[in-house]
Amino acid sequence: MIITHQIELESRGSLSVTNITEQVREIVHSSGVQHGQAIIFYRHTTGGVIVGEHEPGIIADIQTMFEQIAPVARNYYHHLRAVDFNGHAHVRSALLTNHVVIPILEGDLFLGTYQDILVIDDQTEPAPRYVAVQVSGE
Amino acid sequence: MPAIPRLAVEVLEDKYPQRIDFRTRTIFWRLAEELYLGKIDGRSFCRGVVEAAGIRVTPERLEGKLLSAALPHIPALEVLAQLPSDYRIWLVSDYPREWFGGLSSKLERYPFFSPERLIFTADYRLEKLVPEIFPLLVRDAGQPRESCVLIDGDSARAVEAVKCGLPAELYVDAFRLRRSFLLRKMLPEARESHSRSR
Repeated sequence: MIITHQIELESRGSLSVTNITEQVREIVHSSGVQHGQAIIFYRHTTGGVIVGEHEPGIIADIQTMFEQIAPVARNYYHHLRAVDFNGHAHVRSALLTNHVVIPILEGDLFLGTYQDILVIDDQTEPAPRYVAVQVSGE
Repeated sequence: MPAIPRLAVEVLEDKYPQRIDFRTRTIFWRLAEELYLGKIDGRSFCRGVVEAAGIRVTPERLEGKLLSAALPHIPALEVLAQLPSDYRIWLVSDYPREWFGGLSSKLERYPFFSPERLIFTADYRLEKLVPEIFPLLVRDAGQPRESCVLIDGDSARAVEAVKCGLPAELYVDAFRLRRSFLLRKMLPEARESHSRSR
């Protein structure tokens, strides 16, 4: 069985973090899959999805790290196209994973105690953001 | 209490079956920010929401529906109730004062929310809520910054608080809040050993 859903995020961009664990869990529950896996795929090029602890200090550290690696205020070749000016977000996105795979065991996400599914969105302005969730198994 | 823009979306989608699109939700966010800052009152917020959503309802009626739908998250309050009595708990409300009267009855079972320790964000008359509000909250709490813990259901606000040096917990659910209190040794049971995996 393979079931695909899409989650629309309420993201404001600028490295905002959205915890979608419960939404993914509901999709898994409604799928009826007992053993399998869920693929969570970020459908844009200015962010990513990680499995991590949704703790403010950790998020602050991640944001600080990205600001050091690819600061917003820098000239990026991407800006030469003069279409948009989010070069930092594309560089940071390249350092993130655009998908994660979570095992499903006995009908539930097989996550560790401190693990959450976090979408990091770095678009410069709030915009609709989508994450695909594909559940497969039996 | 639920975040005001989300509450507005939930009430509109529930009571007036209509999908609130992303652009409209961003207008709700902007209106809510003005509400938090005291630039508009609750009725004006509802007026803006009705206009943005294009829904045939009076702002007064929407306001009533928002207030009846706004419920405190009881499991969170139950965790707070477990804190030893020497912790002082302040309630920071981004709901406007005129709404709070109707909501306070829902908190009656939790007397640790003293009227003397109630802060309305609108009263600060800030230009920008974050990060300007954090040092003011610490000042009004009258405690060293490192002795305070801000508990917020808004991820971005909690993160900005930490960046300002104010310890913060992101409220995800009651289980995690209690676990965080244990890790911070704020609950008596913290002295008991507990295993955890990271």
